[in-house]
Amino acid sequence: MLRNEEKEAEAPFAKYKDILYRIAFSNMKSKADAEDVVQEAFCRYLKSRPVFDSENHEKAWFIRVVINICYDIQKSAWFSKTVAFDEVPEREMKHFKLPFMEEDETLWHVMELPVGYRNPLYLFYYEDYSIKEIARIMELEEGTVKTRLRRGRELIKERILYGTEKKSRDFTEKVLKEGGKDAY
Amino acid sequence: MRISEWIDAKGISNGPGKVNAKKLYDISVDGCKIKEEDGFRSSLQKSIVQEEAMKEYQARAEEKKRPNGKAPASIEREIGNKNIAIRLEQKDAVKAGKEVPARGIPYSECDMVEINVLEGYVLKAKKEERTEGKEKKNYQVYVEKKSDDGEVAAYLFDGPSSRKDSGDEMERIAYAVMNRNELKG
Repeated sequence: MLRNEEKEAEAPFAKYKDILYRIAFSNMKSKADAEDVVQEAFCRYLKSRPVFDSENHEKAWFIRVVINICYDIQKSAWFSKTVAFDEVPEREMKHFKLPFMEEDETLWHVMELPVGYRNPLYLFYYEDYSIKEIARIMELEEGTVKTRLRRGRELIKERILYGTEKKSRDFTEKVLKEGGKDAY
Repeated sequence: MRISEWIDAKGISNGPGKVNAKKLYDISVDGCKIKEEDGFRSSLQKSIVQEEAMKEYQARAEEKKRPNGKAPASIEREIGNKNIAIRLEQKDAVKAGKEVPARGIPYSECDMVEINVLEGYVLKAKKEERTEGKEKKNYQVYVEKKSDDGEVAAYLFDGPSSRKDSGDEMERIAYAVMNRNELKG
C-alpha cells in the first residue's frame, strides 16, 4: 500500500522534472540552485498534495511553484548581496540543454532579462506556451503578458546594440517585491 | 479669434517676452506656391491607377501560380505623360502556401523549429506525406507561425515548389525542412 502511494507521488516528478529544471535554471542560472528549486517544489507538492482537474492544471501548478521559489530565493538578502543574477556564468551554460532544437544564442539574453520579462519570454519561446497559458500560470492579464513579451524583446535588442544596462534592475526588484504580479 | 488678435487682446506682445508670431498681413502671398502635381485630382488619379495595378498584379500572380511562376516585382503605369513605377514588396505578395487552421503542434512533433525572439515569432514546420491520385506520393510542409502579439497563422506549402530565396519566412522554412529531410534520406 505504502509502495503504491510512493509510486503515485513519484509520477509527477518523472513527468515534469526536466521542464521544471529548465525553468528553474533560466531563473537561477546555476545547476545546483536549479536542482534545489525543483527538489523544494516536490517537497511542497508532497506536503500539500493538491488535487488537480487535469494534467495541464497539474503542470501549471508545478511551474508556478518553481517560479515562486525562484522569486523567494532571489528576494532573500543573502542572494541579492552575494549573487549577481544578471548574467549566466559560462561554466553553467553546459548544464542547460534545450530539447528539440539546437543551441540558441538569444536564449542567454532572455535569461539575462529582468525577472518580470524573463519568465514570459522563456515560456513563450522555449517551452512553447501560448499567451493564454502564460497568463494563467503567472496570474497575469493576457494583455500584460503581451506587453512583457514586446518590451522584453525590445530590451534584448537594446542590449545587443548598446550592451548591458543596469537600469532594468529596478524592474526586477519591483517584480520580486510583488511576487511576480503585475508591476506596472 | 485669430492668434494675432488673441495675442493683442491678452497684451502678450507688449510684455517683456515678446511672442514671435507673424501677423496675418505680414505673410507674403508670393511664398505660397501650389504645386500642380500635389493637387487632389492627380493624387486621386494616382491612387486609382495603383489600385488597378495591384489587381492586375494579383491576377498575374494567380495565373503564374507555382511551380515555376514568380510574381512580378513591379508594374509600370502611365498617368498622362508621367510614368509611375509601382513596386510591390514581397511580403505583400500572394502567399505561396495555402492558409489552413492552426493545429498547435508541439515542438516535439516538429521537424524544424525556428525561434526568432528579436522579431517576435516562432516558426514550427512539419513535413507531411500527401497522396495524389493512384500511389503518387508527394510532400507538403505544414508551417505554423506564433507571434508575440497572440496571432497564430498556419500555412501548407507544396514541398518541391517552395523557394529558398522567398521573401516569406514561412516558405523559407518549408524549403529548409524539405531539403534537410532529403539530405538525411
